[in-house]
Amino acid sequence: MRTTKPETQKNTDLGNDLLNVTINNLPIGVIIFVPSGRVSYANIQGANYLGYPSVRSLLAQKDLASMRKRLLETFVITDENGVLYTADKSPVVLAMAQKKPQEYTAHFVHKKTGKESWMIIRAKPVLDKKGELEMVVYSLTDITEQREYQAQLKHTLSYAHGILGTMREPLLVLDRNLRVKSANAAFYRMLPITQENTEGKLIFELKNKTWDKPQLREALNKFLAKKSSFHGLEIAFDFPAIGPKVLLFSGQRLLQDEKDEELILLAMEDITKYRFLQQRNDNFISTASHELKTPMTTIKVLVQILRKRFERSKDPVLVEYLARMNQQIEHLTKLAVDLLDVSRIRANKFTVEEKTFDFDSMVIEVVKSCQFLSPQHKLIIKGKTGAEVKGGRDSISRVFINLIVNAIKYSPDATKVIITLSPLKKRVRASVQDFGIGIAKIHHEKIFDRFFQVGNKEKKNFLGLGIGLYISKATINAHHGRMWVESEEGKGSTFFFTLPLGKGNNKKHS
Amino acid sequence: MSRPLRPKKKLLIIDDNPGILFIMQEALELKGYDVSVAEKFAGIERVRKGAPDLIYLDISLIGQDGREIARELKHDKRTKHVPIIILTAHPHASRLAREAGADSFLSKPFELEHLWEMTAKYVLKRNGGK
Repeated sequence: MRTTKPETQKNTDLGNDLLNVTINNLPIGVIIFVPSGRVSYANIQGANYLGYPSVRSLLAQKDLASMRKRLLETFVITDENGVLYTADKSPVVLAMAQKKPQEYTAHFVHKKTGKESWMIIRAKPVLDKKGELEMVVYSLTDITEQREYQAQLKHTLSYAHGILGTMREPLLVLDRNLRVKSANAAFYRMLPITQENTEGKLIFELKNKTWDKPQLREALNKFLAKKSSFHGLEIAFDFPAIGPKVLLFSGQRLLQDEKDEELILLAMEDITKYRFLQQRNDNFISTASHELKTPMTTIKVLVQILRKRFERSKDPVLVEYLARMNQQIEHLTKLAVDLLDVSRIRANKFTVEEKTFDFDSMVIEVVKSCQFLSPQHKLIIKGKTGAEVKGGRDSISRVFINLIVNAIKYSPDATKVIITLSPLKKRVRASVQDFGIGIAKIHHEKIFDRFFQVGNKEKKNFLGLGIGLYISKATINAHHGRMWVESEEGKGSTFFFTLPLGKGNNKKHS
Repeated sequence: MSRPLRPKKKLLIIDDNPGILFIMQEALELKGYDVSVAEKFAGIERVRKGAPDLIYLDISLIGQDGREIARELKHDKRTKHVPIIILTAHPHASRLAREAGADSFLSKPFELEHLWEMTAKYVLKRNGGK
């Protein structure tokens, strides 16, 4: 009896130990069958995957038949197509018989626990030098997680396709050369165009180049260069078959496809009908206010003629009535003019005069005329700009009048309104400050919106159309200026605006 | 309110709205002008015969383009010296007046005083006065 092992034997033992440790820690079940059908080796995963609590219990099985019996008592096994596993499909049996490697993908459902798993079973025959079967190396790889990911991915893809397909917005997927990769159903519904004439074509060539629009070219080129997505790009088309269409485009970078290619998702919204209705609405307001002006002129001048005729009349009631009529006509006139302005702003027809005018004298004139509106409020001008400003004297006057009228209206208990004029480097700044009810911070932006009215707790009568500030801001914007408000509830508001100086502006010496 | 010099200055108002014609006539007669009104332009000949010192012309007459009329009057040597003031409710009144070759414009709605001032100014101009 030897007490010590020779060196080679030691090495072999060490190798076997290493192999054992390695195999036992593989995430793969390994079982080795000898030709008799008995298991000569198994790792723990192999035993567990086949439903045995230990390697020992697996090794205790006498032959393939008893193993199969136990296997089918423990699991319901089907293949990928849901066909039940039977003895003739056994990879071990087939590998032994055919002496060729076998592979079988199996779905295991544990009969007691209901636990499901997917396995790839491989059986590889090992032959000796004579070509006789020595053993079959049988492996089980758990691919449950992998299958789940695949299923999820498939689901996600079909979900995405489903969304694209059912989306009412037409969509195009473009490659980096701006060729159409695919289009959704809504796109084909919108345009009478075949898939053949769409896919693979350059976007600008679609529909006889009706898609070749400079704005679209610019947006897509910028997108490619800077990877900057774009939204709300409005382009009007005139398609021969379906007529004019107004489309709103958004471009978004899409996840790269399998070839690592960059794709662009181009979404469209057909806003033709909306624009048409908006146009009709704006036209109506424009026509209506325009039409109102003629009868208003007639009434206005008639009342003024009457006032002239009865100026020296001894009848105070008559004079008062005429004054009141005049006041209301002025109000009506302003409404009509304001509505016309709104429709011009909406139609982008708000143009600025090319002349320059003396800013300070305009302000003095406006303040003088507004002083009559409320003797209670002293209108104080502080500072001066000494500047010429480019634009419409009348339209800027109206901005001032509007701010002063608001200041008076929203400070019913105050006694003054301060108008401050300051010269800046390249602009003038003006502000109108009141000491009235003020505006809550949340409304500071909204008050410049069309038809916006600030709700008032005391329900005082501050009615109006809510378009004065909208027009004022649009007027200032059109003059390349800026308008904003600083205000605190209960303390009052200050409305500011800036305007650029007229070209060749000479500052007057004060 | 100074009365115009004798003989009475003649004004011609062309506007398709009877209300406007009425108030223009009332307002300007109150100032002592000799005012004739027309709902449409009846040709250069008629204008020449009337020999007005100033014409108020509506830019959007029914079936007629006020700008065309103004251009025609300003191109004819018999009428080109007569000042034309465009009457309009259009927001771009000054541009329209310029395009028409008119002397000035009066935007609807206007003030009575403004109408008087404007009339006096152009009638005086026509007179070579200051």
